[in-house]
Amino acid sequence: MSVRVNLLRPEEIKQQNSVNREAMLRMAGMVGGAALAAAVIFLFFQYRSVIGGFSRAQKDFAAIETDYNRVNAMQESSSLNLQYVTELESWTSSRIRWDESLFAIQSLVPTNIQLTRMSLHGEIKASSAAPPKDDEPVTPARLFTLRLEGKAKGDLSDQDVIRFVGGIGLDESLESWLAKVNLVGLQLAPHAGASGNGQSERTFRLNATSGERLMR
Amino acid sequence: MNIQNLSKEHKQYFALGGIVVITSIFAVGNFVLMPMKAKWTNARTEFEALRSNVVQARRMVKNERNIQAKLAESNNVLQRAAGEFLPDTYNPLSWATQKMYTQSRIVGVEIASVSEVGGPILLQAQTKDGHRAFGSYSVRVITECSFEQLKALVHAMEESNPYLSITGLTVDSRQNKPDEHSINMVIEWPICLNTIAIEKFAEKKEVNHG
Repeated sequence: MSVRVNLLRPEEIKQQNSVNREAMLRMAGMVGGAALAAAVIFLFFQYRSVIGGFSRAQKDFAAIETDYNRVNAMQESSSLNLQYVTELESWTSSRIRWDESLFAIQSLVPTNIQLTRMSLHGEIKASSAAPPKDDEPVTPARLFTLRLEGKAKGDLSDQDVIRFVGGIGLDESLESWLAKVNLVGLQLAPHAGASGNGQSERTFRLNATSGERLMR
Repeated sequence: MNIQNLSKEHKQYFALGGIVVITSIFAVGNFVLMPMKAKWTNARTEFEALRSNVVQARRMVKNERNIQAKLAESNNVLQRAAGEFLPDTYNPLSWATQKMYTQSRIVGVEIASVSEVGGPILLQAQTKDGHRAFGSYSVRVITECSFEQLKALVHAMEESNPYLSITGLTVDSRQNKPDEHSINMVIEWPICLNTIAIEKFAEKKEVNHG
């Protein structure tokens, strides 16, 4: 069994409470006042700093404003020019150098094949590729189709035509633009053998198409 | 001092004092401190923006030589394009005909005709916003020549103008003259459609010609 004995006299307890409360109130008042004063002083200096800084920055800007306006106008012109230059470059990058392709096709034609017609069709249309951003317009793109028609002499000329088509598909000069090459027709010429040396003759048609050449 | 011991009059004074203090705090807070705070915040935001502008302006001014060089470079490209490679906006067929005949004479090909295909057109994909400055201008060229001459003509044209594109070509062999072919060719150039750019380029052209 334990017994708690309070040895303090009641007046001592009262005195201690009274002193502590007053001291705490005084202390809180002083701290609060000091904090308020510090806050006011801090805000005042901040305000002065902002106002002073603002006025200094205005002076600084005024000092370089003429130069800035001149350089800014140059920058804007430069950006606009760059847009035009980029657009023009897209005309160059999307074209096909047909001089190189004509050389390449000519070099691929075997001696027993004669091209009778060559037709090329190029057009600019909206690319099927999604635009970079939803709100941007569709990018235009060039698309080329080359159609070759010809005749091949020889009993095994069908093999030569197929090799010729394969050669077009594998040629290094043409592969820069060629997406697909298809033989679309190969048939025995009806008059073959009648007028010549008895060799059969075949006519053929093939289509070579480019991929989309974007004009970004 | 105990509030219980105060007279009614004193209590009323205290209550009135309390109300005045609270009202004053409210009034000062609402009508003085809050507007000051808002003004201060605005001033601070403006100050930050101005300071950032000053920094950016200084950087830009410091970078003037670089910007000037880029502008000069792009001006040169556009001036050259306007002067040499792009059709004259006001008389494109005349320009194209002259170019075609010049190139064909170099390679010894006689051109039978040059005619406009549809006139200057906006690219279909560009009509939505029209922000592009260049449309397409095409002419049809009809001639007769050998395949070797055709290759030389195409090479000469493509070499002479980086923006030119051959977008149509039909080569038909002729029964009576196996070495001669009927050629039907469509040549395309970008043409300036932006009115501001047209005026700008026209000025550049005049400067170049002047």
